[in-house]
Amino acid sequence: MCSLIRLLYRLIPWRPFRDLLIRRHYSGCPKCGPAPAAPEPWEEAIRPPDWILRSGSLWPEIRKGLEERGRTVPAPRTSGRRRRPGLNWAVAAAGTMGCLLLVLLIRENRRIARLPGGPDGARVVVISAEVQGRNADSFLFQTKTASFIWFAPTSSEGDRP
Amino acid sequence: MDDALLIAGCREGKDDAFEALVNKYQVSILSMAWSLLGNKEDAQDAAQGAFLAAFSKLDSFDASRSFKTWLFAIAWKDCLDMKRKEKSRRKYLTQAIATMPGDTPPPRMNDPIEECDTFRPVLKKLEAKERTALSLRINEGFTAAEIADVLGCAESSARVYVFNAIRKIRKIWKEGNAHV
Repeated sequence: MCSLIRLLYRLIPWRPFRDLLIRRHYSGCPKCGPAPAAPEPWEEAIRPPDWILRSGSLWPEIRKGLEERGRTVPAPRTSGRRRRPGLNWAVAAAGTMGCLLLVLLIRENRRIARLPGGPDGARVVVISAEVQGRNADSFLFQTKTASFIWFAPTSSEGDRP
Repeated sequence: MDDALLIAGCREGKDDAFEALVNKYQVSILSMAWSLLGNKEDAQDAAQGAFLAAFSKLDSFDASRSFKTWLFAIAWKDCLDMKRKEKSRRKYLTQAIATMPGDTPPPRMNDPIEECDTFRPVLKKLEAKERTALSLRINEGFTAAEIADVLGCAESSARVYVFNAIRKIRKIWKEGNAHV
């Protein structure tokens, strides 16, 4: 590791900065990046113990295990079983579209509910009306902020003898 | 022999192809499992489990990937599972001992795997990902991309694991705490 990087690493004890520093440095530095580091004395400490090198083959046990599972020959991969590469993206896109549609539907439903005369809005219903003792027709007009009602005497009522 | 040829042989059910793959990677897989688990029996169990799982799933192996990193990734997950089981076993036993009446002698609880004598003290100080990354780098000569493939992380993260592991080990080494 280059000494400047080591110095910066020690100066700023903030983990995200340190991680970024190492990442940037390793990706760009030809000395530290792809080339393996020179052997150091501590490397012996992490070498596997001798029993690993001396241990016999694990194959007989593995073979027994495979036979117990009743499957010694894995089936070759057939072209029909291979997943199409775009399938995951298509599923993800369809899921996203579905969610978006659901959100739009919910929003639209709420908008309609807020309109006057909507499911939860106040409604004006005129059951009967009279003008100067005569029956009258009513005409109702509602906006978001106000309701207008006109009354007009029924013409047929006045013509009666 | 080339891995692709051996895998083709395995798919045809040739025993010698299976055996050749086991013999080719056995030491490396055991080495990684040992560095993570810390004792011989667990490392052997994990290695056997990894080979078994790999051979059982050979039909789903993507030939465009490296067999080596695929096998190591399976072994890494197996080792993590074993570690988790060991942890929950220890927790359960500790709770059981705590709830026992005072005059009952506590059952003998095996030492945690990381406390056993055969485990190198240096590795105990590292986190699981750091241990594995360092072991793969030093013992197997893996590149950062290969380590990332095994651990299932970004290449830059693999570099960070290796760097942090080396930094910790150097510090321990300088302090003279490494009894090796």
